[in-house]
Amino acid sequence: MLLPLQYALVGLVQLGGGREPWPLVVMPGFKATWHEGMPLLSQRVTFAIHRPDSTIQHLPADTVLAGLPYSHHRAMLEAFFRPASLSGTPETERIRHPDAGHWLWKRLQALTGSSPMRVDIVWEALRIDPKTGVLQTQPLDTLTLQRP
Amino acid sequence: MNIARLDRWLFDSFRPTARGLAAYRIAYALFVLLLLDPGHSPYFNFHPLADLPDSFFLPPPGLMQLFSGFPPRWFFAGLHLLLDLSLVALLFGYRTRLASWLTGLLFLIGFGFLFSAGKINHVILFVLLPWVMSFSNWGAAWSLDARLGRTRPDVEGWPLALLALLIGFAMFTAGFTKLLGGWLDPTTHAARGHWLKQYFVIGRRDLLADLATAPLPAGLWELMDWGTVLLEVGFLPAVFAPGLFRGFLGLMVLFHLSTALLFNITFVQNLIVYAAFLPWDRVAVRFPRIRLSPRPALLLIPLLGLAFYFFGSPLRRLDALAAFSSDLSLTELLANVTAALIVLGLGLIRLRQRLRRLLSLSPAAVVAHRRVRRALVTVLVLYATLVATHAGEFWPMSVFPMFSRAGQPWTRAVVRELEATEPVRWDTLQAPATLPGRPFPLNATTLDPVDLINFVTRPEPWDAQRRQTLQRLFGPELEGRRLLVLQVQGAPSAEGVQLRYIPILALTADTVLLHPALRP
Repeated sequence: MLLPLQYALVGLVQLGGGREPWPLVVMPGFKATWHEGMPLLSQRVTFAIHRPDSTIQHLPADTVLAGLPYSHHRAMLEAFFRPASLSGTPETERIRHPDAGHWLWKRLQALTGSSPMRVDIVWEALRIDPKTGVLQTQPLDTLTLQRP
Repeated sequence: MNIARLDRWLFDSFRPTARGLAAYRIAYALFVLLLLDPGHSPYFNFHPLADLPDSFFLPPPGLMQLFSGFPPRWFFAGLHLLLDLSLVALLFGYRTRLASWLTGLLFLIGFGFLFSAGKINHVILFVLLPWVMSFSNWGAAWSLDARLGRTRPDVEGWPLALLALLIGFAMFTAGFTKLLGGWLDPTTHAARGHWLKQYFVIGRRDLLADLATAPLPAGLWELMDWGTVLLEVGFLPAVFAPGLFRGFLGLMVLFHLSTALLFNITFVQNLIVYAAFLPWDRVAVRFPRIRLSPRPALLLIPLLGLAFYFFGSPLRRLDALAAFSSDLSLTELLANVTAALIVLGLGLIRLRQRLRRLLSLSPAAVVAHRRVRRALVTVLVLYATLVATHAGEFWPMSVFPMFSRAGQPWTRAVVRELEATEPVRWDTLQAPATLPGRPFPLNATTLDPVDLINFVTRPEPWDAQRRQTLQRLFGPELEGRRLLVLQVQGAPSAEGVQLRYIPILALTADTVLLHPALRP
C-alpha cells in the first residue's frame, strides 16, 4: 500500500512544479523521446575569467564544479548559476549571494592561481546534427559577477 | 491475492540459510568498502559538500528541509569514519543489526545532503538494503555475534521477498514513466535519442559509444525502446514468481553492462542489491573455513575501519590504469563485466542442468547427445588444424579476419593512363594530386581489381612470364593505351594516413617497362 502511495506523492509534488522528494522508492524514468533526424538541443556553460593582468581565461563548467559528482554538474548550473532571463526566476542566480560569490572566487583562485577581477558565466544554446555531428552555438545570456 | 497466498509468497518464496546470508553479508561489506569506497570515490564522497556555500543548499521535499545548510567538514569526516566502522563491523558480523541500521542511516544522511545540492541520484534501493537485510538475521553465522552467543541461529526469508518487492516497484516506476512518455511509439527512438545526447552533448565516447552513430536498422532501435520498457515494467509482476524474478535480475545485470559499454554510464551500487538473490547457500558451501578468535577480530574492526577511512580502497587504485574521456571508472566497469559473467555462468549451469534432466529421460537421446558432441569436437579440431596450417584459408573453411588489419600498414594498386608523349618517371610520390596522367577506372573494365592488387603486390621477381601474364590480364584494355601501374603503400601516422605511390611498370599492348629497381 505504501509503495503506490509514495509514488502518487511524487506525481503530485512534481505536478505542482516541486522537486522529487527524498527518500522515496522511485527510479529515474528518462521520459524524453526522440524522432529520427531531430537535432539534439542542449546548453553549454563556460566561465570567462577576467584576470588581473587583463587576460581572459575560459574554464568549462565541469572544471569549476569538479570534486562534486559529474551527474550533479548540469543540475547545479541550472539551479544556482542560471540567469533569471533564462529560468524566469532570480532564484537560479544564487551564485550572486555573498557566500556563493566567496566560494566561487576561492575556487577560481585555486584553479587559475590568481584572484579574478570579474567572471562572466556564459550560457550558449547548442544544436547538434546527429547525422554529421556538426555543432551550432548561439549565445543566450551571461551572468556577470564582480570581485566580492 | 488472498491472505494465504500472500503469506506463502512472503514467507516461502525465498528460503535462505544462515550461511548463505552470512556469505551475502560479507560480500555486501566487501563490495561497499572495496568498490564503492565511501569517502573516496566521486559518487560516495560527501566531504566536498562541506565547502559548498549555504546558498547552494536546496533540499528536496522531505526530512532534509529540517536543515538550513551544509554541515561543516568535521561532520562529514565523522560520518565517513562511522560508515567505515559500521561496514567493517558488518564484515565481521559484530553487532550486526546495529551495524546494518547505522550503515543505512549514515548513507541516508550523506545522500540526503548530497541530493540537497540540486539533484537526486536514485540510490534508494542500495540505501534501504542493509535495513531490510537486518531483519533476515544475516549475522546468524560466520559472525562475531554467533561466536559470542549474541544472536539466535534462525534466519528469515521474508526480507528477501520485501527486497524483491522494492526492486520490482522501483523498476516499475522507471518503466511506467517511459510508457507514459511514448517510448513504445514506433515513430520515436527514445533510447537512441538519449544515447546520442550522451555521445554528442555530454561527450561520453568511450568503449562502444561510437555505435550510437552507426546506421543500424530502425527496428533495432525500436527493439531497444520496447525491451527497456518491458524489462522495467515486467519486474513488478515477476516479483511474485521467484524464478522469473531472478531471470529479470539477470537481464537487468546485462542491461547495466550494456549501458556501461554503450552509454558509458554505470550504476554499480544496484549490482549488490540484485546479488541478494544469488544462490549464496551454494557459494557458502565452497567458502574456506576461517575461524577468527573474537579478541583479535574485535581489534581488527577499528584498525580496518581507520585504514579504509584514511587510505580508501586498494582496489580503486586500478582506476589509474585506464583513462576514459567520460566519468567511467575501470573498477566499476570491471564490476559490471564480472556481474554479467556471473549471470551468464549461472545461466549456462541452469541450461546444462535442464539439458541433463531432459537427456536423462531417454537413453537414446543421451547417445545422440554424445555423438553430436563428438562430431562437433571433431569438426572443430579439423577446422582449427586445416585453417591454422593453410594461412587462414582452406576452402570451404576460413578464418574471418574482418577488420583484423585495422590500423596496420596496407598495400594497394592504382592504374593511371598516360598521354602518348608523356615520359615515364619512376619517382616515388606522396600526394594523389602529383600522380601523372589521368585515372584509369578499373571498375569500367573486365579486370578484377582484387586480382590486379594481388598480382602487383606479390614479392616474386618480375620475369618475362610474369610481365606477359600482366599484359594478358589487361587484355584488350591495352589497345592504344599507355598505362602506368603504381603500388600504393599506406601507413598510419600521427598526422593521419601517410601514402607512398611507387610506379612499378608501364604497359602498352607490346611492351612492359619495369621500375629500374625491380628489373631482374
